Amino acid sequence: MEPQPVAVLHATERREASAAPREATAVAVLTALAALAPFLLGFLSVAPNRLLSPRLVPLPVTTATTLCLGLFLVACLAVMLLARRAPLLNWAEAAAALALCSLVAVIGLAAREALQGASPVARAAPAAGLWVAMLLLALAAGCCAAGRSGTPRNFMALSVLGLAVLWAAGALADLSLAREAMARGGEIRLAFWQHLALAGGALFLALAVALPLSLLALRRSRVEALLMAVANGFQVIPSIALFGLLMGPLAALAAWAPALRGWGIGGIGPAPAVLGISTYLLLPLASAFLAGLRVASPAVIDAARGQGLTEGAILRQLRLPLGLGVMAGGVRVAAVQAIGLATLAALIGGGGLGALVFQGIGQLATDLILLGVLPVVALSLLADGGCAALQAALERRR
Amino acid sequence: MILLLGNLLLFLVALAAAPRLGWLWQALFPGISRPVWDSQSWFALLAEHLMLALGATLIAALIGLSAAILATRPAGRALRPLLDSMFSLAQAVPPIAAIALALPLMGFGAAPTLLALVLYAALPVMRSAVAGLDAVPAAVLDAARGTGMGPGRILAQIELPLALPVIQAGLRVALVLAIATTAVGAVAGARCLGTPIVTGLANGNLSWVLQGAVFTAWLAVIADQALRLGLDPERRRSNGRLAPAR
Repeated sequence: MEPQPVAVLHATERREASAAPREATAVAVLTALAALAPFLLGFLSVAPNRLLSPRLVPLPVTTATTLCLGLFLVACLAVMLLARRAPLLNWAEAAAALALCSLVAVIGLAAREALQGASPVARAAPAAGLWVAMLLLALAAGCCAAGRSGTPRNFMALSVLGLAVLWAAGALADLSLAREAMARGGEIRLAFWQHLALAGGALFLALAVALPLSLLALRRSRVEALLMAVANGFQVIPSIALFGLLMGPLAALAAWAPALRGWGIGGIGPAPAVLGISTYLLLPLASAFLAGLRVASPAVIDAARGQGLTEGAILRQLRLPLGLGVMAGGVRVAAVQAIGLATLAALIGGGGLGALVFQGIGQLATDLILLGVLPVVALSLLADGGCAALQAALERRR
Repeated sequence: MILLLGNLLLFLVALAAAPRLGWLWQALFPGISRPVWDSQSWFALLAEHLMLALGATLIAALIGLSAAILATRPAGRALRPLLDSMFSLAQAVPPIAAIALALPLMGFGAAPTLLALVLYAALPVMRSAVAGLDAVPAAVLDAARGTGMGPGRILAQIELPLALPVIQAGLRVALVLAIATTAVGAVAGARCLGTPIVTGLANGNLSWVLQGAVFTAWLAVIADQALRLGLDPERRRSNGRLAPAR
């Protein structure tokens, strides 16, 4: 993650060719492939029941599906045309979101059509075409945003909004993914909140350790060397091994002091997961905090000291306000990592969305795996986008 | 160097000794009836782990390097935004999610893990190779063109040699990443040092979990130690690790 040099590079190159931005070709190719993907790889597959493997079916032709399909193709064309002008890249992103939502609508409506008159255990699932098209559209939107901040915020926000509207309108209710989600509504909600709690708890714990240590390390180089060595050292250890290593000692601790079990501390459960995740967050947090606290140049700090400001006042009035943007960048990296790492917590009984993923792996049930993975990806994209916006706001205020 | 060799030797001795240390595991986990991992030999697991990680890194290096060379040619300029957006998208998908998504398509075994490993290892190689090739001074390229060198010779004799240190750093990151991520592949049925961890978790056998975790972590530390040897001291401290995905 070194966004600055890339951004500088983009800015200069953009100036050279303001008419057709260099993103245009990549966006056009990706979007064209996205438009073709469902036609080549299929829209919908239907299985007589949950256990039999699904077969591709032709797209049922009704007014609604034709309209939505037309909208999808028009939106794809719009993405390609809008991306040819640098100032319109934001609109190209919005058009990509429209394309994505209309394709999902096509498949949702087609599923309803295909299942009419079929037995109630029949399942309709999107074929590979939808997933490939979604991936390509997301990449195209990413290309549109590559020159700006790297995260296609407009695309993400509009897609989430559009999909929520489709869901609320009941257009997706006949897809097997939606049926599985309905059947497991409570389980998914619980896993979602557990996941947030795991990631949030780990982030909070890591912040509580990294912030004071960074402040201390600012003055004492030996503390800094030790902090960075420890934080770096943990990065090397694979997460699954660290979780495993933490289980034994925590189980022993709980056996030695059974009262701790009441707090949820034991070898199995959220405690080793939160502890394990937070150790990986130390490096991004501590290095960004130290870099942020050093944004204020030594000359400025000296001048402030000369004016008689105390160290506390220098910290509050100079170091923190000036370095806040850089520090938020570290929180951004850490938040995304925490959400990803929390997926593995389910392995050691910590719950979270990973529990759905591992259950899906055990049953080789694609729907279940997707129900676990999609929210994780959405969460980390949202966390990344949200933190990026916060970071931009903090840097602008400076 | 001596430290690394000593560590490696100790690791191999420990692998050989682990099945014979029944009394130790019994003492640590008195409640477990079969505390010794004996389903597979530790050396077989180590070999499969290394083959998977090295194979994936090799494929990833080929893909990443060719993508980077393409993206730094004048004709491949349009590829740049795509590489950037792929990189940021991959950051949002943890490797375990990629493995899980590949599973229904490819079935249990090493294949889904290999796919995820190649995807994740190709990114740092690509990033560093693009950065290295970009950093070749324009004046050098002009001089080379002035002496009548063709684009192919400039790439082979000027650009790649000059970018080599940065590319090597990317390869190191990729290999450490691959060795660490391979362990997660055990969830999808890939045989590796992570297998005892996953099997132990499934059977409630904390002794197997501990043994697998110790050796997995140990191997990762050795790999990191070995790959740092080639780095110059300045780099060795600040190490050019890209945002790790795990």
